[in-house]
Amino acid sequence: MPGTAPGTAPAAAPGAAPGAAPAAAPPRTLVRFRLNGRDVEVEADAGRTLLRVLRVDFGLTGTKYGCGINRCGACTVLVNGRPLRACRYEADRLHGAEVVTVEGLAALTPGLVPGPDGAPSADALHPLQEEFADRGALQCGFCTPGMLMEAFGLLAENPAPSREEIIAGMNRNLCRCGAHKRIVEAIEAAAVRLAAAPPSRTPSRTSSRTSSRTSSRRPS
Amino acid sequence: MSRTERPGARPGERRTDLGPFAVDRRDFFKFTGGGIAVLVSLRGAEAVAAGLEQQRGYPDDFNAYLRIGEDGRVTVLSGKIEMGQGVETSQAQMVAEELDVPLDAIDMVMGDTARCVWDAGTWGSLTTRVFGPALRAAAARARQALLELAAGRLGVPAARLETRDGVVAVVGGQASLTYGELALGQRIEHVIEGEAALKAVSGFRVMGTSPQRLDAIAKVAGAARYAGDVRLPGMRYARILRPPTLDATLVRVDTAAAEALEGVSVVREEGLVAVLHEDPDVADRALAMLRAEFDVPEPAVHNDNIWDHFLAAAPRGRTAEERGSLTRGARECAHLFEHTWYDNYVAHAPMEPHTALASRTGDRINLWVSTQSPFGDQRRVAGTLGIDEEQVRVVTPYVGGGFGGKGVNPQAIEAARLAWITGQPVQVAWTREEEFLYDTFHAAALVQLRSGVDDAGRMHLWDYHVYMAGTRGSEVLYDIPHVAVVNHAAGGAHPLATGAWRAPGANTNVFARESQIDVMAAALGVDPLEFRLANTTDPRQRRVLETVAEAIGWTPAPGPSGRGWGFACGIDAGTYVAHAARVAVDTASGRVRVEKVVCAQDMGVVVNPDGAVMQMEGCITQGLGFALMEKINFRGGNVLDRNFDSYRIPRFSDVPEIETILVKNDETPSQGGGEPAIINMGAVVANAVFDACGARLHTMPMTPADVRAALAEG
Repeated sequence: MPGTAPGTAPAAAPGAAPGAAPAAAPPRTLVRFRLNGRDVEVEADAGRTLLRVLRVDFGLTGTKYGCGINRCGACTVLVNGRPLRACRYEADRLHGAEVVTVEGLAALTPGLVPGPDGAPSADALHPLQEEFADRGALQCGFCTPGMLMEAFGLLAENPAPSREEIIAGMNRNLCRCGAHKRIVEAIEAAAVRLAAAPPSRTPSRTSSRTSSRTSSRRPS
Repeated sequence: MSRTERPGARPGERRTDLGPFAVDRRDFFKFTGGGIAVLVSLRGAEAVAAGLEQQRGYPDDFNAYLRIGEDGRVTVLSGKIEMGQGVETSQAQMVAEELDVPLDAIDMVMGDTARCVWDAGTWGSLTTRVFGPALRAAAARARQALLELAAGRLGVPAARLETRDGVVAVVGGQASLTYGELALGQRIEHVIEGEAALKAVSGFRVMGTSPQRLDAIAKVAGAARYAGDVRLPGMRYARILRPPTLDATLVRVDTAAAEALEGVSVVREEGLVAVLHEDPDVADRALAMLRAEFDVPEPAVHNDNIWDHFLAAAPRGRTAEERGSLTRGARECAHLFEHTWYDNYVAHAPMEPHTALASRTGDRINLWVSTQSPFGDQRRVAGTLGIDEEQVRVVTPYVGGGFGGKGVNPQAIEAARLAWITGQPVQVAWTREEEFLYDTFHAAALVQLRSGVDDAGRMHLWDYHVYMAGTRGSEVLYDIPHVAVVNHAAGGAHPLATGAWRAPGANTNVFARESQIDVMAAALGVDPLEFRLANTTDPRQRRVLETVAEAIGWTPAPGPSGRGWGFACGIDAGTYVAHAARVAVDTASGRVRVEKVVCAQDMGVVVNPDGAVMQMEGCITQGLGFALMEKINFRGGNVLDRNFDSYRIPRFSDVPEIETILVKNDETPSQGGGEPAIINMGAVVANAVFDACGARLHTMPMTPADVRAALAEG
C-alpha cells in the first residue's frame, strides 16, 4: 500500500520504550512431507514459508522469489499435484503433503523408466521442459520454473486445453522478457506429446532414499 | 585446468566456480593451463566505439578473448553478461564461425572481472554490433595462428591448409591435426593488433542459424544459477533499514530489540543500518524490530504537477539538430500542428530483483551480482571500500532480466560494505518492494512539437522540444527542410531516480514523432502509410514500412478508417524497424485490446535469426506495458506502487498475435537487436486506437479512462 512499504520500519510511536523486549521466538514444528519423491522432514519456525524451506533448508534454488505476495508466480510448485505459490504457503501446512519443484519435474514424465536407484537420469527432462527449451520459450529464465510448474498443473487438470484455456490458465504467472507467445506454443506442443505418451507412472516410495534434514537455524 | 572448462557441464552450474583470484592477463596460463590464448588489443577506433575509454583508460595489458585448450575446447572470455537477451549463444556462434569449431566445443565465461575482457556494460544493443566484430576478429586470428602452427608441424605452407570442425587439414590430402593436438603442450599467447579478415556471409555455417539457446537446458531444469542462488558457508542474509520515501532522512534508530535476537548482528554505518542472520526469517524479524524515525519532507512534485515542474525546471534547451529556418518553414506550410506528448515513469520490474553476495578474504572481496555492468560494480565497490580494483572481483551469474535497470547496483555496494565490516559472506537480495523503491525508472518526459505541411502533403517544418527524456530516438527521420530538435534537460529535476530503460528516451521520442505524423496525415485526409512514404527517401526506412504494409495486406485509406490499424517506424541502435498494429477499442469502457502486431526489422547481418525474433517478440510484449498500462504513481519521493498488486505489467491475456519479419540486408554489418522493436510500441498502438475510433491519445500509458476522455473530446 502506498506510504508504508513492507520492510520499512514504522516511525516510533511517541513514548515507545526504547529497547523493548524482543518478541518471543515463534514456535517451531517438525514437518514431514515428500519432496520430489523423497520423504523429508524439516524443523521450521511457524510462519516459515515453503519458499524459504525449499531455497534455504533444502538448497533447491530453482524455485524463485519474485514478489512475495502471490502475484507473479515465480515461486510456483506443485503441492499434492496442484500448482501453488510457495512464497506465502506456510510450512506447517505441509504435513504429509507431496511437493514437487522444478528439480523434480523430469521425474513426472509419463512412461519414464527410472534408473536403478529409482531416480531418473540427470539428463532427463519432462516434455514441457523440452518444448520450452526447443522453442525458446524463455529468455532470462527467472520465471521459467514457475511457468513450467503452472503449466504442469494446467495440463494435469486439462490435458487438451485450447489456446484460450492455456492463456487463462497461465495468466497469473508473470514474465517480463515477453516470452509469452512461445510459452503458449510450448505448452500446446507438450500437450500433444503427452496425449500420445503412455500413462503416467507414479514414482514408488523409496524409503531407502529417505533423507531427513532439519533446520538448525538457532541452537536450542 | 579450471573446472569451468568441464565438457558437458550444464551451463549455469559452472557460474559459481571461482578460479584463482587475481589473474594477471600477461600470465594467463597460470590459471588456465596450457593451450593457445588469443590476446587482443582493442586500441583506437574500436576501443572508443566500445566505450572502453569512457570511464577509464584502456588497461596496459592485452585482453584475452579466447583460449583453445589441450582438449580442443574453446573458452570464450566475454565481459558481456547474459540477462535473457541471448548473447551467450550469439557470441559463441560468432567464435564458432570464425574459428571453424562446432558450437558445442565452446564454453562461455561471461562477466567475470578477473577473467574477462574489460567492458563498460551490457546495454545499448552493443554486444553484437560493437563487441561482436572484435570477438570475431579474435577468433579469426586464432584460426590463423592454428594454421601457422599446423603448417610448421605438417611441413606444408599454411596456404595449402584448411580448417573445419576443429581440425586443420591439408587441402586434398590426408594429413590433419585437431586444434587440441596443436594446443597440446603449448603455452602460446598470440597478441593481435589491427585488422582481421572476417568471413563473408556467403561462407557462414554457424552464424545465420538458430541453434537451441546455450542457456535453455539449465534454465528449464531449474539448474541455472542466479546471484541469489549462490550459497557460501557461514553466509548471512542481510536486511537493510529503508526509509519510507526516497527523500526521507533518518532521524534516529533504536536497534536494541533486534540486537537482542540470538545470532543477529546489527551494522550501523553512515547511510547503512542492517541486520544480519544466517536465517533470512530471523533477519526479517530483526528488521521489523528496528525502531526508526524518519523526517519525511512534504511532497512538492507528484503525478498531477510533474509536467509543469519539467517545463519550469528546463526552460532553455540545447539544440541537438538544426537545419533551414523555422520561420521560413512555417511560412511554407499551409497547415500547422502543435501538440504536446506525455510519457510517465515506468519501472523495469525484472522478475529477478537486484541481488548480490559478497565474501571477504583478507584484503580481497568476491562478489556475485545480478548486474549489467560487472566492471562498473568492481570500480564502485573498490571506491566505496577504499581499496584497489584488483582487490575486487565481480562474478556475474545468469541475470534474471535487466532492461537497463541493472547497470547500477546499490545492492552490490551494500553487500560489499557488510561483508567487509563483518568478515562474513553476506547476501543482499532486495525484496520486490525495495526493487520498486530503488528502481531507476524510465524517465517521465514530455515533447512539445510544432510541425507543418504544404497543400501537397510535404512536410516543411519540424520544431521539436523534448523535456527530460534525452535525444535518443529524436532524429527527424523524414525529409524536412526546416528543423530544430531541442533537448531540455535539468539535472536533479526528477523527483525519482531515473536511468536507462530499454532504448532510453526513444520510447518517448518515437511516440511523439510517429503520433504527430499520424495527426498530420489524418488532418490532410491522406493514408498514414502513404504520408510517411511521401516524406522519406531513405530506402531502409521505406523498405521496413512497405514490408509491414504488405504483410497485413494494407489497402490505403485516411484515418480514422474504423479498421483499427496503425503504423509507426524508427531507427534504433543502427536498426530500422516498422510496426503495424491492429486494435479493438471498446468505446464504452475505453478498453484497448491489441489484436495483432506485425514488425519488420532491418538489422543488417543477422547472427541468430530466432534469437533476433525472440527479442522482437519480447520488445513488442514489453512495449504494451508502457503503451497501455504501466505508470509509477508517486508523491514527492514516495513511490506509491511497490509491487505487482498495483503495478500491472503485460500478461498472457494482453499478448496479441505477433508476426515478425527480418528484412534481409547482408550488405550492412550486424546492428542492434535488443531494443529497436520496442521503440514504436507507443505510437503504433496510439495510431491504431485513432484509426479504430478517432480518439487521439497524447499520454502514455493510454488507460481506458484516457481513451474515454479522448472520445468525449471528439
